[in-house]
Amino acid sequence: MSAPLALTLGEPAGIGPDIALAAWARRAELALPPFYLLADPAFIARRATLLKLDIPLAAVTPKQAAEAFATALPIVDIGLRVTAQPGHPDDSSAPAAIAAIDRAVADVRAGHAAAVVTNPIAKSVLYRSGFAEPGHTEYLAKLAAENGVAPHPVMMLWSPELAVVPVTIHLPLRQVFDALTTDLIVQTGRIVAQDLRQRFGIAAPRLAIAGLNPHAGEQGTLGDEDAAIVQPAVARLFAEGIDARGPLPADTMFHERARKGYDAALCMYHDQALIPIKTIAFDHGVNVTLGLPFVRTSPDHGTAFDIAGMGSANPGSLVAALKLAARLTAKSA
Amino acid sequence: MTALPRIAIATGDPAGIGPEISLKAALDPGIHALCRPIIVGDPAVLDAHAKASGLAPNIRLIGAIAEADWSDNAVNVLTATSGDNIALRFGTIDPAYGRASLASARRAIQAALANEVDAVVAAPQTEKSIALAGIKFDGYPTFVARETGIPENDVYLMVCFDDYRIVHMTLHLSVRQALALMTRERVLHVIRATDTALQKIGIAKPRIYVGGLNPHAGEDGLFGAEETDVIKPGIADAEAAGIDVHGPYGADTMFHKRDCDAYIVMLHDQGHITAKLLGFNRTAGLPIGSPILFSSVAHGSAHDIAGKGLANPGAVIEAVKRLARTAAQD
Repeated sequence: MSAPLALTLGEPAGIGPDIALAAWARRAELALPPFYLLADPAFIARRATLLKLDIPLAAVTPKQAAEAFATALPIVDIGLRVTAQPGHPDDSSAPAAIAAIDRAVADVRAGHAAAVVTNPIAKSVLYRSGFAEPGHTEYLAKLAAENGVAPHPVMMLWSPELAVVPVTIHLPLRQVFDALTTDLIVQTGRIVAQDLRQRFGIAAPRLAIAGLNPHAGEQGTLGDEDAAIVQPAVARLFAEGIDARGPLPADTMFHERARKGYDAALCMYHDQALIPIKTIAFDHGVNVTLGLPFVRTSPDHGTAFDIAGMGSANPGSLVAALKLAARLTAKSA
Repeated sequence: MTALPRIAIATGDPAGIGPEISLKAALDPGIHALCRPIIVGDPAVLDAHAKASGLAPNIRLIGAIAEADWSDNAVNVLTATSGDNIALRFGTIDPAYGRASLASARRAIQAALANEVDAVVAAPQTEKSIALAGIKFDGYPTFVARETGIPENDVYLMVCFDDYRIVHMTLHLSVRQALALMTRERVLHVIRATDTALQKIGIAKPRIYVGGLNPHAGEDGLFGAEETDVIKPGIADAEAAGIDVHGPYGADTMFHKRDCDAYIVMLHDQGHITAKLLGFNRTAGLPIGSPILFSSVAHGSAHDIAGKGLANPGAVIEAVKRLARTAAQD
């Protein structure tokens, strides 16, 4: 039996526990790959009771998880007691969320887990506890460091219809001009192409690269960044043998016919990437981190404190994240 | 009963399908129930299109709107040329076609400014021909602004399709230029222009949602200050003026909130990515914030089928009907 997926707790006051329980309950119908939840078993039991879900839980080691999965939700104890109530993060939130991530990475690096799937965390809660990384993705890269050098993580939002990569992510738009360099676009494009080949099994990945400005700068009349920064990056990627095209006007590259022409779209800022994926795949988009030495996926939504513990959270994106993690693991095995 | 609104249809690119679909729309019985159409363009070009398309309209040439008469089945055509003698070759690019295209739109706008017509619908232009003529043109919003004496950035494009309306606070500007226009006053101005335009369309008490500039609308200042410093104060000013306006919302999730009459976005791509995905080829553009009612149509000049009689006038008819209902409310 192949190794199971390690699913992190995420922010315990959010919907992570709810969607983990809901996904396991539909494991057969959805043909879900075996996974275990890294959490406090007593906390999960209380949440299941609150949600009126009659779900058997099994405290296991990662090695026992795949076998237990058929009859119970396997839980690997992170060794911390969690007391947060739905919608109300408390002092137990941040340490538990971080411990689950640490353990998941340790498990995948030891070969006990096939991949890491992360539930949503609340950045503000982690920051208040002294967490020094900008987000999940950067923290995972730090944990993945070899000889003190962290890999360059790349965020891709994936759905069967469209895959997008924001080259700059959670930056104020004003700071995009400083952050966006030819080197950054080239580095991002290389990682995307490599992981599309190695993990997604696409022999010759095709990258569509958006311009920063409207109409990709319209020959310099709408800003010079597309000619000065983006175009040279496309040329360098192409010279390296990567099928890269651009800079393309962002508004005409996402309709169905255009999407057939590429495997991933690189966008220059957050909304340019997130608007199309949220329009096309609102409830089944998956956040995949490329460039790490292991597979990591995540639902592409937040903690949704307002509906945590109520039973109305949609597990669709987590289900898609679990399935994609299994698929990528099989490909790279 | 008040008289039906008068709608000027500018014929657009002579070498495209514009003249043909203008004629077909003016001949459409449904149109006559809602408005009194007047075609504005070059009579020789219209004649050539009519012949090529097998249409036999009874054309009444007029030199002024006052001469128009809708009591018979004639199509009123107000002459508007750029002074060129058009040698018409369907489906081709020519600077004379660019000049003719804007001449028809300009004449129609003049009629609207003079209150001789209630609204203008412009058939598709071809930007290459306009550029070859050496004319600066980046779409109808700035053209309408120039022709009506309004500062270019004060006319906003409202993209309409199905029941979506998306207003762009900035349009054909680099991202840097758009950032320079982020002021509380401009946010208030675009909200006011949107509110006014929606009321003209017959929505008594419009509800407007405003999108952010930064990721997640700045996430409480974490990813940028414009939401806190500029957009929220602008929204508060508009609220204080009695407008039902909310936001700012992250532009990536805002379009899933459907209980509003219009969205306002800060950047071209924020609105256009959504519009081209959801509206595909059904989007019409209304420049708002000028004194006149104006609409483009949902498609281009379709050079591949020009002069063959195959063009579907649906988009012109839809734009005419939208403005006819609007003008009738005034």
